[in-house]
Amino acid sequence: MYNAAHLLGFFSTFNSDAIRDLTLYKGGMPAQYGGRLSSVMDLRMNEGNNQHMGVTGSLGLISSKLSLEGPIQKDRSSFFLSARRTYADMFLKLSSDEGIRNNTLYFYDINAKANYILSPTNKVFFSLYSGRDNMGVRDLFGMAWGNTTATLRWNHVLNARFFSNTSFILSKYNYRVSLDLEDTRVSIRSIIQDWNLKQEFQYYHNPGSTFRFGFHSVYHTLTPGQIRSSDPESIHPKDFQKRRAWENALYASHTLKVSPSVNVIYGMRLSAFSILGGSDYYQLNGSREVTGTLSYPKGSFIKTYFRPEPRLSANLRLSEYSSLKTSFARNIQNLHLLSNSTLSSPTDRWIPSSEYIKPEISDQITLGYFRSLHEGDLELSAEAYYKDMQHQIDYKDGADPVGKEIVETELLFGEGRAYGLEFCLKKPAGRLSGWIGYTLSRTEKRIEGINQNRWYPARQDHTHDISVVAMWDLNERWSFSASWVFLTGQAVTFPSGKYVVDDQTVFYYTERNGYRSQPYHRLDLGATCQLTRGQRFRSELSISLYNAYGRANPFMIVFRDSKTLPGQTEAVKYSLFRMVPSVSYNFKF
Amino acid sequence: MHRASLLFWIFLLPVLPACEEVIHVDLNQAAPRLVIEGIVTDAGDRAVVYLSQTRSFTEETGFTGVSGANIYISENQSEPVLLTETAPGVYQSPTPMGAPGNTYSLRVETQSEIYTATSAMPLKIPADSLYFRKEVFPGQSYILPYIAFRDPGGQTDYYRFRLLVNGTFLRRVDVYDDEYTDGLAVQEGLFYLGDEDNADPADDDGLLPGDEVTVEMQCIDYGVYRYFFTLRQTLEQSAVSPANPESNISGGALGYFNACTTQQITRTVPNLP
Repeated sequence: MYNAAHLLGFFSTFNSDAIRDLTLYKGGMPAQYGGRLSSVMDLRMNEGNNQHMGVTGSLGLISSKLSLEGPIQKDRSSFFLSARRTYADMFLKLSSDEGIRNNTLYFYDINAKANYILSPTNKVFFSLYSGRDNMGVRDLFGMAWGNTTATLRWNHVLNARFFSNTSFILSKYNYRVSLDLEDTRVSIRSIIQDWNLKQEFQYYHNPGSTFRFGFHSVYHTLTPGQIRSSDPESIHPKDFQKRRAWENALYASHTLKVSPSVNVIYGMRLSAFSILGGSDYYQLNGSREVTGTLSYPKGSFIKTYFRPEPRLSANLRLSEYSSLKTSFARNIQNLHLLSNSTLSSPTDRWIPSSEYIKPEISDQITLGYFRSLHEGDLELSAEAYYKDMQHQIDYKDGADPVGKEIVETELLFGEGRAYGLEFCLKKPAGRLSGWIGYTLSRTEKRIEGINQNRWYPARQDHTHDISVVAMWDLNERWSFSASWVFLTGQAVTFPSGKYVVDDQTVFYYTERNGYRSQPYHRLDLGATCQLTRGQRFRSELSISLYNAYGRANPFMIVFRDSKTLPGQTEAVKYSLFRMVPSVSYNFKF
Repeated sequence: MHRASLLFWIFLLPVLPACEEVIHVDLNQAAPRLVIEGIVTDAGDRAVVYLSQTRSFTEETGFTGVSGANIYISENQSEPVLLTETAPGVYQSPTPMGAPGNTYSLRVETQSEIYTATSAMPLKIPADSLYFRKEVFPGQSYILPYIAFRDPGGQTDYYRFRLLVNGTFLRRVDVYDDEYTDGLAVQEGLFYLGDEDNADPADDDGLLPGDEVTVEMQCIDYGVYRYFFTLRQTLEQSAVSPANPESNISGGALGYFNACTTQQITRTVPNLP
């Protein structure tokens, strides 16, 4: 899914009611996953109850959602349907100011799933996700973006030990920005469309040995920009060159119980990324200036990158209560996200690997120790990791990618590394549950042409990361939750001097991300009260307080001429969302 | 397309409940660096070069002139002309220079370093008119000045605009390229929404009827366009990692060397419905 956030990152794309389970792989990713350097979040959608109808819903101040599930044919087929919408802009409509009243700001998303048991050995699923964000000001500016994913999956049982899983997936991400200039409307549209075919086989050889193998084939079509105008005498229409690519991966992995205390999963993923013709490609010289254009016929292969991705993870049981785990994984990424704004923006650009942009590679090793204490009441884990990244990409200083067709000239390349230690103490069950987590880490980049080619901390580098989460069930009726997070301030670039050009104060920068912003910390509180607990109808009231002690976390720090002391310059911190209370009424029947 | 991101922020800021606070930040001291501002125009003036140094963040903002440098400007490979220092850090050519279509080379020799730059003065593209329109933004409506001109087709042109209100230069950067408007009639709006640097709240309304507005339109070359384009990003601090503007001067100095055509249109803001 591209751009997995609503309203610039303030909301998650995923509707929690629609998700059945979620697996997050941070290290030691199995061979069936690929195409990313970072973590993979495997989400499975709620399947729907095939016995009886159910309705769940929630009415809130910011958003509301409603889910329906039930059998289509009892015991054979079921459906699940969930929809969510925010309505912050309804409040804007109440404003007395015409400029604010004309604003649009909302998102919605829909999750749907149906499944049919055709026979004891054949099961078919269909699922659909569609979400859209919309914001703008009438007669001035508009921006809309969204993801749509449709999946058709067929589970087939070949025999008692051999299973097949076939998926056909169509996904589409698009955005549209429109501007009203004078009496002309200008729009920019961008689309990323993927056709996926996945085939996986699982073979249970014996209780201690399972094989998993298959392939994943994706045909990507990227339309980076189509510029249109209602009046061609005002702005020339323009189509950026499309990019087509075919990504294939073959994989196999074997889960093996070597001895009663040793489990290993080893595997290999062979990935091939082919850049396809059908559009013009630009030739660049050594200083990354465009020297010419090459046109390739549709369907021709321009270049194919083959990359093997070995994966290994091993688990050693030390005793009834403790174990060691280690893993190695190589991952390849061929679609690259370019972003240079502070917020997650829908116009962030995705570009495929090309003649000039090599596939990104990461190699990660992990070593962890797990132990349960107090007869399993508490779980303790400690994990160390090191990750080495090659062919990393960054925008050069002063790059302007918005509305520009050729971005290769705006990019710089280098390497990255990340390492750290993670500790977690968890109490999974009981009236009081929760966890305490601490991570000590470093994430750095070295890019040719940035920071005098020296290593510098990446934006997401947070030395200390602490989280404390507690949930407490007071009685049948009331339950409470609290969570506190602390993060070392973001690595930021601050000026080390100033000068005057064209009568304006200009700040002078000497190093990339050489400073730290203030630490980020926040306490969130929540309380839930069961209102009715009938056999048929259940309802509860949830009250929550975001940022309970009103910490002014830095969103942005800017430098400017002082408004009070002429001739002086000052640093100004902007912060958002100090204490946001929210109430929602949830029901289920 | 810069306007798209600008509008994005104009739109978002009133929606997000932001609060601002002046904070203290301990900043490193950097060694002073040379700043060169070189200007050659077709207005019949002497060429001028300002030479200064960066100051530390905590010092008072101002011009630290660098004296005693040898500065030369040559026109189309002709014999370089030595500039004379008329005030500390201010160097001028002995006679007026600057004509459209000519290329100018700058050479600055300080005690330890040599800096060079070239800038080609484009042919003059005439500005047609200056007019005003009222635009409604979230929270407020503003009168915006628009400058109209016809872009010549078949070549890439770069423009820079300077805005003066009641004789005072507004601290801002406006540049324009004709990537999407080659050969078309262009109406470029200058988004002036009040001088944020100015402590006077009366200035927050932007233009008011009766204000005298002057727009200076410059035709510039690509190197100068890149400098001002990146200078705007530096001033706005909008990029994830702010950086120094991309200078067209080699040798490691900050600043620019701009050989440009210049023209001005002045009008009084009328009463708009």
